[in-house]
Amino acid sequence: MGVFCRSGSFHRKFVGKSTLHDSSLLVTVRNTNYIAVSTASGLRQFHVEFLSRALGGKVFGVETTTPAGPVGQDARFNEYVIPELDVLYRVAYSITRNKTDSEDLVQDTLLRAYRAIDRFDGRYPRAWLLTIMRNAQVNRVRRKRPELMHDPDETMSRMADESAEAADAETQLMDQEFEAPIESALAALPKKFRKVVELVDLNELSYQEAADALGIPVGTVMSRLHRARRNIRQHLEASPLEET
Amino acid sequence: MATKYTNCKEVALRLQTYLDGELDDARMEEIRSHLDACIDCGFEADAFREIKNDLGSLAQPVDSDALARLRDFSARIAAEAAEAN
Repeated sequence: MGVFCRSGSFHRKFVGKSTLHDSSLLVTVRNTNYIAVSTASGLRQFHVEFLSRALGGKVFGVETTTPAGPVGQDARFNEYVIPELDVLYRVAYSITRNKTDSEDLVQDTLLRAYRAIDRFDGRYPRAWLLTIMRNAQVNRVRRKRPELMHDPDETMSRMADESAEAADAETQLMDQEFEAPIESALAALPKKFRKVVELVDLNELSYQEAADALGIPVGTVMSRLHRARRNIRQHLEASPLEET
Repeated sequence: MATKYTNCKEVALRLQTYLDGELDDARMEEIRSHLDACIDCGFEADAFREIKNDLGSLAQPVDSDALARLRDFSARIAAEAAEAN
């Protein structure tokens, strides 16, 4: 008898062979070790390890999926989105350079992600969320500065640059005397280079994730990043040695 | 062992991608072997590795209050969706 996994959209997927006599349908739920099995005597829950033993010890690829509707939506949101809150906030701050704007941008991203979570295939949640964040940011700019929307990619970096400008000027002035050479080297970078360094080196995004966040090709991320690090190196080499 | 990247110029082109761990396993190993054997390239790698580490140390911890507010916001999204249904 085949064992089937029923997904949120009630689509049946074959996942393996079994000798489970009274079940032909598995309803699985994410974030749990228990699997609800539709049996002749009604819906029963089994621990996944017990079920595996019952199936003759075979490890078969039970695909855990979530039913559609509000409950499934919440479960998927908790599974895919909540663990990325920290990264989302860091990236938002890199983009906006402002705490209030960062929170607003993450909130906007969360709302959009919640509405779209049923259509998300579960792969690369961070990349998915960063793309949502970029679109949210472009829309925010469009509302504030519609004349800038001829080239969304260009607008993205221009908007980030402008929103960072005021904060940067003040911070740079105050920190100049106290910051470590690496900080002043980073601050001296042109903004579009600095942003990539912040995403990859400070926030530990992959090239692809940084590309998703900024809406630029991976190759551009690489070239900006590598050039930025060379500039940083030159800056450090030109810096006077610290007194000990 | 001779490697594909015995040419220092080729290694220099891929050095930072290597330091970011963004090459496939085979290429990572080829460059690692070259860096072990070539003093000049090894020095370059150390310099950029140090820069990368120093940059990483600049990362600020996320404001825990902001994170808490965002968690609350997430919970409210779900609650409001449930009410609407």
